[in-house]
Amino acid sequence: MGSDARPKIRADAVRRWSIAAVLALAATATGDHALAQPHRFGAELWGQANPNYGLIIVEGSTRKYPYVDAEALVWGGIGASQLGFDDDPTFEALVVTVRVRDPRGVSDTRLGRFILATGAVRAVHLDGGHLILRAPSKTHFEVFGGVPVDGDIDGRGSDWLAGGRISQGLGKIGVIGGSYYSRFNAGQRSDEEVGADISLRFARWLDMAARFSWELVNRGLAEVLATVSAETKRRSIRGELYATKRSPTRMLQQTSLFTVLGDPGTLAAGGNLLWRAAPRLDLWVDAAFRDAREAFGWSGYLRGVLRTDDEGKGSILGELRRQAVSIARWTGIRLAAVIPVWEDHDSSVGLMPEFEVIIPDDPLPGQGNVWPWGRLAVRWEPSANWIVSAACEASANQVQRYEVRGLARVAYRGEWPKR
Amino acid sequence: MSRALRIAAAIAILVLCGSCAKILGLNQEPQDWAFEHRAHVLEGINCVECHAGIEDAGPEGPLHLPSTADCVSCHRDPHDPSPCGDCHGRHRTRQAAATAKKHMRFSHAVHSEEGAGDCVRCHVNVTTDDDYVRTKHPTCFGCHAHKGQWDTRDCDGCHVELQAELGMPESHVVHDGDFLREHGVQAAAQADLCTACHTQRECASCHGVTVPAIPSRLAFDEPLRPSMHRANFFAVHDLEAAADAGACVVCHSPLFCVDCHERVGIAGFDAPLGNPHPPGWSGPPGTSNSHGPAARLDPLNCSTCHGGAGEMLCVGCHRVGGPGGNPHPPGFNSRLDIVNDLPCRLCHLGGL
Repeated sequence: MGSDARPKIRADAVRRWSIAAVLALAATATGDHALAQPHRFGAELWGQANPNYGLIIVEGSTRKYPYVDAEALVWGGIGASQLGFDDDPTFEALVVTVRVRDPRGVSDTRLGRFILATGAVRAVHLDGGHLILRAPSKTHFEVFGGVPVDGDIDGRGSDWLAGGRISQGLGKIGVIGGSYYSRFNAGQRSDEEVGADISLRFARWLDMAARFSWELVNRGLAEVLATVSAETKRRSIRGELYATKRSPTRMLQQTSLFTVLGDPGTLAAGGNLLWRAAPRLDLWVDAAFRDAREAFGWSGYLRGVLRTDDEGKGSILGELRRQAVSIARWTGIRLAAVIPVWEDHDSSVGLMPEFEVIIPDDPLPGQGNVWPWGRLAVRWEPSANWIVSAACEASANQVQRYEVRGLARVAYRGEWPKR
Repeated sequence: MSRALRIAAAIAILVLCGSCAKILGLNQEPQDWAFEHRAHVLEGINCVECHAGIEDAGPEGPLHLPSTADCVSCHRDPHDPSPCGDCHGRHRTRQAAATAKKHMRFSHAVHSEEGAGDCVRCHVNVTTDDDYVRTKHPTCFGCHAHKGQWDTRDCDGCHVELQAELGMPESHVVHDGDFLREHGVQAAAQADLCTACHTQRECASCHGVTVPAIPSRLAFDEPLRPSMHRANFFAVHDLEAAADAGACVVCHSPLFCVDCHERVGIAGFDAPLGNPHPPGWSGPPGTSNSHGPAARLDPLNCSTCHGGAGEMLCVGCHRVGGPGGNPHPPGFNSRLDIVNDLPCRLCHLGGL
């Protein structure tokens, strides 16, 4: 049975991040505004009824050209213990980061809580730092390190990781790079990966990219992704071929017991095609061959988006999705629309209906044969800075015979000084 | 079918086609024509005759777009009483000009002097009536040695808060495709370039461990916004995980799954929903014990409930000398120390 793995929100950590956020923003918000980028700030109240919980989200960003910029998003929530919120208020930081850069761009340093995603290192939410040094030869050196944000989860204490990447620009053609990182859990090496990445554009209409990572603790392939895309000169047709091969247990931390069971691996290889059939109509088709659980299958979708005006303020989406891989066999139909109801110079009202139905091939007894879901939202923008929205949502799925929920949000976004 | 019926059917089809053409944007409204710049250029009309004062314009101030009064000063007999801008020139082009004004550090006065009043040198596309009249990067780089700044992502010299401009580079192919699936592999090599326009909050809203809610729930009033986990994703999350378990662990630790499964009562000791496994799932040696083959097919599926401290349930039988036998596949190899490292030491007690 599982452990009590709920993230522990430490009050001192929250205090530390809040103080850091305020200091970072204040430090960059003062000074010479003639050369400064505008400071942006926002706040949002968000609530759901059944189960009841509420959020307050506060964010801000500022940039003092050209040396330093900072951004932060912190939030508090209360209610709905089944969603991970205790009865007591929860406070967390999603992003608190300060970036300091050399005016000529030679160095670029980011400190704080941020998403680290570089080279073959999979995106990781990190409390730490990331330094980039750029040589005139288009050679970039990167080093990074810190504590993964889920390090607070019980059983994953004292996590930390460190690594680096070297990349070389290939003129206008692209970039090639190699990376390494090592991750420790409870003082023990739990991941050690080397990887390579490449992005190429031989012509304006042709894009290629790939990345590859190799696990060194339990030696073997962790992940390979590759994509080649091309489009016509008028961009009316765009096609892509892709392949993804993953070894899930090598992507886990190697301290997990489930890494010792071997690795069946997963593979997906396919393509998609986008056809801008008319100025307001986009059609998509995607199909992929898949190998999972030592069984072959396929997945794919057909999608159409019709814009009801040239600016794309109103749109209608229809989608048919099918997955038939091993035990995962289902068909989905989704319809969504954005319907402008009223519009003035800088205010508007819109309706957003959305409906999806999932039809599983092999539902278990008592789960129902069809899982519908629907939502109707109304959105009012009284000015360019404010958004007020409300919605009613209803669904039936394999767990609940039916559920009805209410949603609401009030958001403000502003900048200072105004231009 | 009578002739009248055929005519009626033909008319109905024509009306239907006409309606479809309009809906699909094939039949453009008059106001959606690009402005007839080419005709004016060929007539030898100087740009500043319509865009009066643009040659002295600095970074701030009006856009210097011509008014109807400017038009009728030459076109003395207008064919329509409506404002000329209602039909001639696209509304979105004027909006783009306003956005550029807001987000660029650019002085027409300086450039007009340097270019000796030759506007077409930068606004190349006015000669073709193209809708895109904004000067492109290569044109800028033709005179300005910004190449080093381009390489070092120093955009602030020209752009004011590029991240809020929401302008996509014209040839940015990755944004046109299945962005959710494609952006990761593209960003692997060019993450440094991505951050020139994208904030950390944008990345963290999906990849952040501490997100308050998934984007499709937070922005419930934007149903067409791409999202890896659609609002109804819960209904198929187990099926999606079975089809590609590796995709889940790109972002989620299995403990994330355990955490939620415990709360909804399908994991943990004394789970309210009871044991989800079928009869014969596990038992003494010699019985069907179907959990073994199932675990080898998808170890991550097991970890979604038995991860963390729940691993001890497996250890109870599969430890060295236990009744469960060796769980390793043939050829299993690891650099971990059998005595000291996790998870080896859980089963190999004393280095057995």
